[in-house]
Amino acid sequence: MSTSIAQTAEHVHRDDVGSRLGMWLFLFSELLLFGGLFLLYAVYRSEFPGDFHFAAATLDTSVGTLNTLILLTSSLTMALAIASLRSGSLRASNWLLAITVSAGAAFMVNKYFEWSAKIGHGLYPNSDELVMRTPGENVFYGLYYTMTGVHGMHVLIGMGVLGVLLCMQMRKPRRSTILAGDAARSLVLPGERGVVSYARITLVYEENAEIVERGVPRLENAGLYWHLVDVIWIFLFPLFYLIS
Amino acid sequence: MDHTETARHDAAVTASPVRYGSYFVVWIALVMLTGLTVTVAGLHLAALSVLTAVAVASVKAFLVLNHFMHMKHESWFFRLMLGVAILTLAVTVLLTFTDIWYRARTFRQAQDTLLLPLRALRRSRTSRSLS
Repeated sequence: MSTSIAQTAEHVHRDDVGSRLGMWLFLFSELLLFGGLFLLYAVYRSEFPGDFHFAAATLDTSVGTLNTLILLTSSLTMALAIASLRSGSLRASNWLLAITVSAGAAFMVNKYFEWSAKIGHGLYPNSDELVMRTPGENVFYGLYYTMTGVHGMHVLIGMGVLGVLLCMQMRKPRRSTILAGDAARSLVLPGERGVVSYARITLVYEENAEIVERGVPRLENAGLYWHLVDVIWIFLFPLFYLIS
Repeated sequence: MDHTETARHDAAVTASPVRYGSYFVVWIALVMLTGLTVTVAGLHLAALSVLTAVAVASVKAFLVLNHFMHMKHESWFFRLMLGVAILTLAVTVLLTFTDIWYRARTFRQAQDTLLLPLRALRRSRTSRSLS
């Protein structure tokens, strides 16, 4: 096992630690992007504490809490998806990934209804309603739409990346099953069913092992991104929904 | 990095510590902390509520970084990088606030110069549409 991994690594020149390092560097740039927005929030909040409290009271705490629980659970299923892929159970990993992507979708649906309700009340940047209100409220809603919007965009991108990885994990074994079946049928004489199934299983097993070995670092990096989106929401949630 | 450290790091990365149970424990802790922060916010502790909210959020972020993002299995170099990133953010925040705290309050004026023309524009537009 160890020699086969070493040979593969030599063959394809793969550097898992290096790719993870690159992913973390990218995540730090994301951290500073949101950090700048949080700084903006902190400065304006210290300038307009009363307006921020008043405006935050109009946000629905229960929707925010529900979305927090959805994202936390999606982080759990993400971590479990990586763990099960590492241990070689591709099916479990696929299911857990599907649940993760669905949780992201549920989060976005909630966000859609939340934004629609706010826009329905005329509370959006440069609306007739908001322009007549206090400067602090204008800044609060501007930051609210910018920060939850940029975060929502990250959720969508994460869903896309995880969806692509899920498709890659799901597609290959099926194709290999058919290929292996055809190859085995052409090779083996009729009546030798035992040999057919053995050849089929061996090939499928090898294909799966390859998917697992190549897929784990990829899924880990995608997982890091997904967890970062969760970390950002962990800070967004109390600052926007709980300060009233 | 000496041999034992390299070996330990390789073991940590490749031996794949699959502990499903610990992930569930972390998740339960995260959910409970969410409950805590919502409850504390309901108590209306004024200045303290922001402090507790940020403190609880930091603990939750630490749990996610350490367990879900496997920071505890990474080498010292990854932790150093994370530390530098967080420090950079902290310095930026601190320097900005030293400016804000010791500066005359110009924000309200700036907001008014931004909002008053907008309001005037709105009024003129509505009066034009009425006439």
